[in-house]
Amino acid sequence: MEKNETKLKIKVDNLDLYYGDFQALKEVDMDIEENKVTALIGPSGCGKSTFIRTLNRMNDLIDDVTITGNITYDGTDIYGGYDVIELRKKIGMVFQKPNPFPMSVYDNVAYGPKTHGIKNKAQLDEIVERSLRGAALWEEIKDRLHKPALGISGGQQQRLCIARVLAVEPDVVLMDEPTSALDPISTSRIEDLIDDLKKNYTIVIVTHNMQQAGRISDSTSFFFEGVVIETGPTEEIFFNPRNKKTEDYISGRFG
Amino acid sequence: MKSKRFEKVIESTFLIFASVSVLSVIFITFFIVSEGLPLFKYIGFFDFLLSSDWKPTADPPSFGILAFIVGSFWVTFGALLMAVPVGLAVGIFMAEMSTPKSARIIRSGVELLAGIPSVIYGLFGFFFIAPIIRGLFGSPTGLGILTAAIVLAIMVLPTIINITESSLRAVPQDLKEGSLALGATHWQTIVHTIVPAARSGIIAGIVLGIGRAVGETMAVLMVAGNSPIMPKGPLSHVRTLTMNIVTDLKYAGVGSLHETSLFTTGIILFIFIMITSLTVQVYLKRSIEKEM
Amino acid sequence: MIISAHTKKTKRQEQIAKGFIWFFVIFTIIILAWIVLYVLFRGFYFRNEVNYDVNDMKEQQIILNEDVEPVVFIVHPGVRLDDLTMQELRTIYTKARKEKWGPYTQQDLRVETFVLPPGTAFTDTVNGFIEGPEEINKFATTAADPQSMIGKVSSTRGAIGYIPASAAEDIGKKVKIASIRRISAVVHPSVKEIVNNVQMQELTPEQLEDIFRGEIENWREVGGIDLPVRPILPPKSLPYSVIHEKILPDGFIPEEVRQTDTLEEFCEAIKTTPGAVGLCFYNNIIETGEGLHIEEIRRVESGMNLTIHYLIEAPARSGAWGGISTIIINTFFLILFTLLFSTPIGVLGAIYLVEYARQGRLVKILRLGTETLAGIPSIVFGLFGSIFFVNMLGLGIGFISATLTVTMMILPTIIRTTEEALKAVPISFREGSLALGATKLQTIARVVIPAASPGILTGIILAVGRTVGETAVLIYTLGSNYELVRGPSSSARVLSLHLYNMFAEAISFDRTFATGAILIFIVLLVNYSTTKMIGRMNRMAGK
Repeated sequence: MEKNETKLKIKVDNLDLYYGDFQALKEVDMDIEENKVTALIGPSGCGKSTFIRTLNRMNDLIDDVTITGNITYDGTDIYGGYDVIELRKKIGMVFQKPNPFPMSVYDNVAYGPKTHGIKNKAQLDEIVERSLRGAALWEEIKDRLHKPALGISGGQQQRLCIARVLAVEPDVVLMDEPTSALDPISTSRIEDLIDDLKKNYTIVIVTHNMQQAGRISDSTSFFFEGVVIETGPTEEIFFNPRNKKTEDYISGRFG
Repeated sequence: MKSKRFEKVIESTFLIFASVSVLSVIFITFFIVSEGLPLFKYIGFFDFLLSSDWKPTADPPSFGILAFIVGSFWVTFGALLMAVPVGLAVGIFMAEMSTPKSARIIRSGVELLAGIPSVIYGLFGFFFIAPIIRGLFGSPTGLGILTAAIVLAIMVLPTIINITESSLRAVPQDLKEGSLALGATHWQTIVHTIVPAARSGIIAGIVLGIGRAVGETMAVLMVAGNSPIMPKGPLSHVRTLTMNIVTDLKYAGVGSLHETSLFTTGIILFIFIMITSLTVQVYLKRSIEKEM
Repeated sequence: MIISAHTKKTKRQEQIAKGFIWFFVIFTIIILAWIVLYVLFRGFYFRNEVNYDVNDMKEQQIILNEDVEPVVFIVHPGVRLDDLTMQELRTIYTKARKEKWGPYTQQDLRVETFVLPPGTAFTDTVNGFIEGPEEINKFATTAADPQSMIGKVSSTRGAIGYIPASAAEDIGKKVKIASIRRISAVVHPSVKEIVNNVQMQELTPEQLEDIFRGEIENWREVGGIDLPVRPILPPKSLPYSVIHEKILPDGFIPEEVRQTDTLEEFCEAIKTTPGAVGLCFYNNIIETGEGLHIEEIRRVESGMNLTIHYLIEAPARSGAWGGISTIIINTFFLILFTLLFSTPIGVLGAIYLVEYARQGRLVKILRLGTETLAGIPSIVFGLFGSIFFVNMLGLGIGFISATLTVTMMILPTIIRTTEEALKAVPISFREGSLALGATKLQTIARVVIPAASPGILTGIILAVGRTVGETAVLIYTLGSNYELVRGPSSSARVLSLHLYNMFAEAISFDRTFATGAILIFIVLLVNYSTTKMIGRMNRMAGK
């Protein structure tokens, strides 16, 4: 058997998802490659947020959700083969609205490692610095590590949330519209960050902003009404879409 | 126009009604203070607070309420020691662990508990709890600080449960998701994120519980033993500030110094309740501000 | 399953912690259920252990001697009596003052005694039996003959009389038969000795039976000292045959039991045999018995506590007798007056806060006032009300003072819930009405208040609940006169006060619980109504 050049981090096979009787995702297939940025685009309510939340099993929190199909991470089924806590250590998530905890900056970043049993202060200090550097926030914040996290700007808060995720040392970072609540300058900083992060992490990003998808992603999937209409390398999707609907969305005819 | 004037009159009438509360508070405060203050011509403020010699009918009379302050303290402390863990647990359960239907049922139950009159609690304490204390600890009557604390704990439970539950529910969902997405268990999320975020509300609930416990009269009257001396231990008979007023009001002569001293006791109670009330307001405001 | 050791550990911790939480929740539910059920149970059903001088063996037809017919004692059907002891019967007929049924049946009812005309052997025997060493008092009425006796007893409330057994055949339901208990247990003094802090206390009827069946051989077995039991029976002849029939129904006398032939022999035997116990009639002991010591017998009495009768009859002797009808009515009046006063103030005040006031400093102060008022302990209200309304304003102890004071207490509840209810009414309702040209007042009256009415009613119901349960305030402003309230200034006892009174003065613990059960019902009703109201509120809001 031929070994692929790029490894598949996450493989989704024939995923159906129902909220009660309503089918939110229909027969979704996706391959998420290691150390690449995969963007999910599509109009509101098309299922992309639902999809990304399935990857780290955040949908477990909702009652009355039925999921059929197969999702594997590094070859292991994320439902049967992985404990959900372990899974989330490996697959982290950054949310649309920055949600720092009402604690100090330090405590926010140290939250993950502490939860996973790291108690040694020196170790924690090191992790905090490393993560904040990885999120391109260290220089701005190193003098106010123990001040409340809620006191910093929106863009900084989001980078803090990214640092928080990095502190757990995941493999994959899921981002659910991470810049839609931020101003253009912060947005651009985070986009640069993502470009940097993909060297060490696999990124899946949901975005409403097509230009953003075009700028930063390697591969793009277009969702519409719970179905993946088209998937492929970003250039292809944007400049040579095969499906008419994709083309209509890209050119702004709807969405 | 005529109707405009009519509307204005109506509005003013409503305003008057709305002010009844404030006017009542002001008036009651004024009254209690003015009736109680004259005692301090006879006995110093600190002597009143720090002496445990309560002999209002002796010649010369002595008015020291330390024994009652201590009594109120121990009874309240014991009650909260028992009620806070249980109340927090039930609040956490209702907000984070139960189904909406179960939460509704438990909430009905808690409201029922809150509506039971204090004399019924006293009855229950006297006939059911006191004999158990008698049997377990060999206390002759089974009444005393411990029994009163147990009864008060049950009475204060609904307050703590209610406020804990609402405060926990008010914590934004995305904080919870943020914690879970980092690989924390539900319990870790509750302990390290949700409860700390609800801290102000929970404290407000506890302080409110303290206020209720200190202000309770009938139930403690029936189970605390009513002995006006310094208590020696959890099985001692004790008298709280509220019990003192209720017990003595019956036979204090009208206009006498004895009667005045009861008002003075009332002042002390009042001050304490005011402090707790204001603290609660502050903490509740803080918890609401956090949401924004 | 890929899972690290640390995760396993935290998951275990989670399980333990959640287990504790479940425990506390179930604990709380059990406490709630227990309190409610305990008070209801003891409110409905009482069970007391009472000591008597006589055994629980009842006789409906009492054989006095071989010469006359047995006598049957009858009472008016309204007298709630099962049986009387010999002593009680005597007291009723011979007491210097007219007796009441209260001490025996808790009814506030005068005893009307009836006798048959003296002169016949029957009447003289019966009267002698009743009198004992005393004499029948002057209050007894004479009925001409048994038929007339039956007629009089059936038509006079509280009546008690007697008829010969033959006349008892056709009394039907006109009168009730009162069984008499007259069999006592007597013991030799040695049985009651105290050795090492051990002394024989009372016996139960079952123990007595076992003794005379020969199954209990030593006083040790029933809580006494180490002394063999010597059961002795009186003669088998009339009238003592009754005793034999009752204690040994199958006629077989065990060898341990000594059978005496005359009453004198019986008494002698009891007085001289250590460890002796015998059964004889109560009047034998009174008439002949120095040296005969009566052993008390403990009977379990149980029955319904909270009955319809209790609710309907008026109280007497501060609640020891009779029922609580007037108290329920007083409570009702209190609720009525308090609501009449506090509802307008509360609701209209809340309307101002929500509909009219500009949300600025003034409103904050008014709200602060309401919150503070809510926190003031009830005893401070009691103090205030008692001195200010009762004494200073001279309004006296009664409904006026009580209403004013309680209004202050429950105002915050009504204001708070009304405010919530008003705020929940969508602005669109108001705008729609104003757009149609209605004034603000009309809008409030015709649109907003009806829409908010379930919420407002909830507040009122809750206020009612609080009023009913309140005690500390009412002691000093409403007083404790348990008769029906006479006017706005008269003292009137309500349910909560009644409960406390009966408890504090140890009048009757059973009745204390019965009153408590009623209070719990009211609370349950309040709770149920508010839940229904809130349900209706939610449905109206489209939830």
